[in-house]
Amino acid sequence: MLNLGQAFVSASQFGLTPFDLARPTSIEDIHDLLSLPGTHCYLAGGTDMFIQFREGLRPDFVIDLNGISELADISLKGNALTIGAGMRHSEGACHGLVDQHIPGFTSAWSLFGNTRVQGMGTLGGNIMARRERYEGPILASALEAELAFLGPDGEFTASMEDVWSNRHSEGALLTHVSVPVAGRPRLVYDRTLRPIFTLAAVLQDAPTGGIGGRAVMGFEWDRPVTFDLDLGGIPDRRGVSASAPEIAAAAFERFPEALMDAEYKKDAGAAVLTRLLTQLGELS
Amino acid sequence: MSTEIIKAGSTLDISFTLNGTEVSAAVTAETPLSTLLRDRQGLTGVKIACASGVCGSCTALINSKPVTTCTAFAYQADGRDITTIEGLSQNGAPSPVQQAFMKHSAFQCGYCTPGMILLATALLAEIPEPTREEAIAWMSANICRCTGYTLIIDAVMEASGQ
Repeated sequence: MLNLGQAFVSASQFGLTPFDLARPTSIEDIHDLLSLPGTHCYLAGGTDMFIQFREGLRPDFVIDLNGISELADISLKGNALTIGAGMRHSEGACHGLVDQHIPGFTSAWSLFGNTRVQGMGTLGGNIMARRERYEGPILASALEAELAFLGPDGEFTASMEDVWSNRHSEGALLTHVSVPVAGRPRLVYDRTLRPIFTLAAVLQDAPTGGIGGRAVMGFEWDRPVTFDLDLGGIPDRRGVSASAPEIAAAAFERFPEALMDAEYKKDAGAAVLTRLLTQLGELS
Repeated sequence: MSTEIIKAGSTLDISFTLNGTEVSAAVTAETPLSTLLRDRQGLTGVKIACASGVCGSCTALINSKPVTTCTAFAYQADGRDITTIEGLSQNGAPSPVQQAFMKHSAFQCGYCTPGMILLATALLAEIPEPTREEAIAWMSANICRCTGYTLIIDAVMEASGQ
């Protein structure tokens, strides 16, 4: 074995700046920590934290969430599937409740990152990293998920759009993600044209009758864009398959022109969305 | 408050199993696991390249799962079972994955090879007989800039007995 001083082995120059480390064991502990002075950040999977440090993150203290088991729970609460923010990708992506209540979500979740990230990364970390190319925010928007936080002033909820717009409280902890499932959502997610774009599509029963649908396009460098689908006059999910080209074309009429290569993304996106809607209609 | 708080600069005492041997160490909170393994334990098979969890050259197995040690903190090793490339051989004999990599010359510069072999070892522990597509999907987590990957996948399939 080579050791420093015995051979030409130099020390690794990748040190991080020192920080205080807090290791809470319950959500209640977090509440106490939020009243402490100084800046903080959260550590769960940690797959993104080192990158953030290298990008300039300098917290006074890091809150290690790995001792809080209640953050890694999945349960059905009323009409919503509640997924703990600390749920690791590899476990969530094969969870029976997720597969039962949101068909298609597990296969989409299994695509996050890579083998290594799947084993370490968490849904909460993926969302709160707020990186445009990460897939948690795309799927959270597509499923109209409600994000539950704990902040210094107590609990509150926000949408993914609120998080992108910084309307949530900085420093608050994302505790869980609630996905409404009363409308029997079904999701499909396509990454064949990544890194140009990825596309998620969801069909579900509308609260007022009929069906509703949403598509979310994700990009490498731009924030995801949401398209609410006009499904008026479509009697059922199977009808979506028959009218998929028209629905997709209508959805992308409102395509944001400020995006790079907007024309290409609009045309290719309509083709992919047609395929996804056809698939969704046939599956339902 | 029941939360344990470790002040910056102070150390945590950890103990873990490293390549089958019990190891104890005192580390500061910000110490990367790669630094503990490479610089302090002298395990130079832990190769540092991107230092941001992208390339996978510093991969080790933590409780049999592949992890980039450059994006894990050393204190997180406490109580875990860690395997680096130095711990794969048994009685001096290369593991089946190592033998397959040699047979197929699945390397050129060799810098990514420890991480690739550990990643493949984790794959075969999880899926003993992967399809070629499964092997490609799994192994795509790590980056090699020399081989073009074909020989690596060939070696993985060989190691799986297919």
